[in-house]
Amino acid sequence: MFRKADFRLVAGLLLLAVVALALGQRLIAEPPINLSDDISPLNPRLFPSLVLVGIVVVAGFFIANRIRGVEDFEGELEPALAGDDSGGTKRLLGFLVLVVLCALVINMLGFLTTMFVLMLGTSLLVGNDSIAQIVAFSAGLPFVIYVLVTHVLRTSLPELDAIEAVLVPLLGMLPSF
Amino acid sequence: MLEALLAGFEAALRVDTFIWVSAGLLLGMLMGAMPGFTTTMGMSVLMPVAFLVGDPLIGIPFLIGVYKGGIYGGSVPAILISMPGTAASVVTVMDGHELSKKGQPRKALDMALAASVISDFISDFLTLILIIPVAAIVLGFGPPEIAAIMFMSLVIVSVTATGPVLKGLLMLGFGFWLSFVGADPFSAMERYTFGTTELYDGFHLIPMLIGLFALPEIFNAVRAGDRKRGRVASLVGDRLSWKELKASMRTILRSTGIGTAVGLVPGLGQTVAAMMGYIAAKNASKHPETFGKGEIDGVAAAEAANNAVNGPTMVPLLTLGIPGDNVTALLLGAFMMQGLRPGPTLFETSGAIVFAILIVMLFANVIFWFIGYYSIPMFSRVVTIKKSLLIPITIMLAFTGTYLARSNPFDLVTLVGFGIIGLALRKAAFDVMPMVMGFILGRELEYSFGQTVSLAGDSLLQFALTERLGMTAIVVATPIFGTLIGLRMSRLRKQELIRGG
Repeated sequence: MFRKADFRLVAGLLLLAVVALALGQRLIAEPPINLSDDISPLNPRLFPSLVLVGIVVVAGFFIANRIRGVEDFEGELEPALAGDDSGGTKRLLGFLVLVVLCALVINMLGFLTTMFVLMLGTSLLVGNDSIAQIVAFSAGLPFVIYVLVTHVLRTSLPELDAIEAVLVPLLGMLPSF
Repeated sequence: MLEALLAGFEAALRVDTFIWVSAGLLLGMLMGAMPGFTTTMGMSVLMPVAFLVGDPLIGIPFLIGVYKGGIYGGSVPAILISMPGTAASVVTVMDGHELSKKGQPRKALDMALAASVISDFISDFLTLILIIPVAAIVLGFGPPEIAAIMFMSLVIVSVTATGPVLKGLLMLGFGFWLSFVGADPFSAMERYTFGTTELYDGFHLIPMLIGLFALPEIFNAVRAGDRKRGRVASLVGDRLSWKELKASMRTILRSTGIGTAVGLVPGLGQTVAAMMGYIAAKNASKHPETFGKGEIDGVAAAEAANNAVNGPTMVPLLTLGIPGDNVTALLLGAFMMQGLRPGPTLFETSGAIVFAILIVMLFANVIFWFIGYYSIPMFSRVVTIKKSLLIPITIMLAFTGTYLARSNPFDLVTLVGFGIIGLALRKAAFDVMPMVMGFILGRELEYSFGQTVSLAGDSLLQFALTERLGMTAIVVATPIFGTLIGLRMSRLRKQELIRGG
């Protein structure tokens, strides 16, 4: 199964490398003035171009070998998605949508709400059937982490003003570290 | 060097360091004891903690504690439910679970702990001795030699990665390419930023590491769902006696030697060491027919060999910047995030700190013994915790850790992006370690090469052939050694595959 997957992946990488090489002038800015060799001994395009040429050559070899049918030893890595489990694939897709959404909305919804949604959704997707346990974990653990990070480590986490207004007096009652 | 060692000894004697090491050991054992949760995942999720504490004498020993604890913790489910917690414990299953079936799980767990701690202690001590002459040699290196060694490291990591060499080289190139995203190190001109300010500093290491190492495992766990586990052996039976430990000492020492040697070679890792230690013990035994049927020496051989790898992997990592496996690639990232760049200059700039870390590693084994001994009953219950409880906690920690690295929500998008890339790479059977190495060392290599060009002036070739023969020798020898090592590794893996059926 992963013989096809690796072929597609290498082909995709080859395509990306060719496009990046072709658009090199646009994707990498050149210094507007000529810098001396002491300041800039290497052109900013030199290393990326060398690496891209390397990728094209190696990917070309790989694809040519596959087309010619040269057997290549695969190593002992196991494909992550082996098997035909449609329920599992649906769970995975649902989880992917969930993590992407949570990554995008954390600044808008704040840490506690986003983590609550993330943990709740993940628990349901993975198959936890105890609603009380899910709610307790999803609400309690992010709160503990929030207190540890903001109060003990004194590092900020994104949070809505309304929630922060409630939490600040509560955190003020805790002993300082 | 001796001054740095003494200063390191003084710096290592800190109560807070040992508290953090203990926390790391506990968390590592916990992660290792959970079937399906690997040491690599535990370390990548906990790496932001090491970064946030900001002190290399706390953060790095904490992660080393997770590493040591995780490798041992993997033996708990291997013995109790025949499901290795980490790949390194695959061999432990053979005799460990048989002992459980015979009603001796406690004895097997005690032996796993004793063998792990003894071999870890000896191999850490050997590491401390071995690292001094190697560090003394590489101390005189300048930017040209550093660039050459980085080139050599990258080639070795690519050819020793799991799978075909072409795949390793492709992953290296991909990681290298990603490292160029952001400002050029000399002229500060933008490369592949598409005009966005978020990409001006490039991709941050933490989301990349968590995304590539932890997220694909979480994705797989979600896909697999919460399966019912087999019966867990109750923790009964006799404890390991002093006489039994003494009888297995020869096996433990042999496996320690094997593990130490394997750890010095990048790319082999704990699983190979455990297999070699087990085979050697079986061949040396007067009753080899008992192996695989609940032989306590089998547990000792596998566990001593896999734990003995931990220390020696630090020799190529710290002196040359070459990580031996995924875990040491994570440690390389952790060192760099603490402002310490493993490689020839490390002992010159931060010798005392590095020796302090190695000394803490050595002393941590004593704590390891105590924690392991008293926490075995607790970790034997960990194997029964439902995945549906652990996965939501792990994903929450991955998100929080990533955000905390630089309080940038864009890093969360990067995290998910690298997670998806990691999943695709696993699906296509690519090893991500060369990619991570290319990413970490790519810009460094470009910078060192730029410095070399500056030093060389008009003619780089003349400079290489007259003034920097060491650099030239490494650059010329690397493709030759790379090819030879690659061919040897390929043969070894083919033999392993044939042996494994």
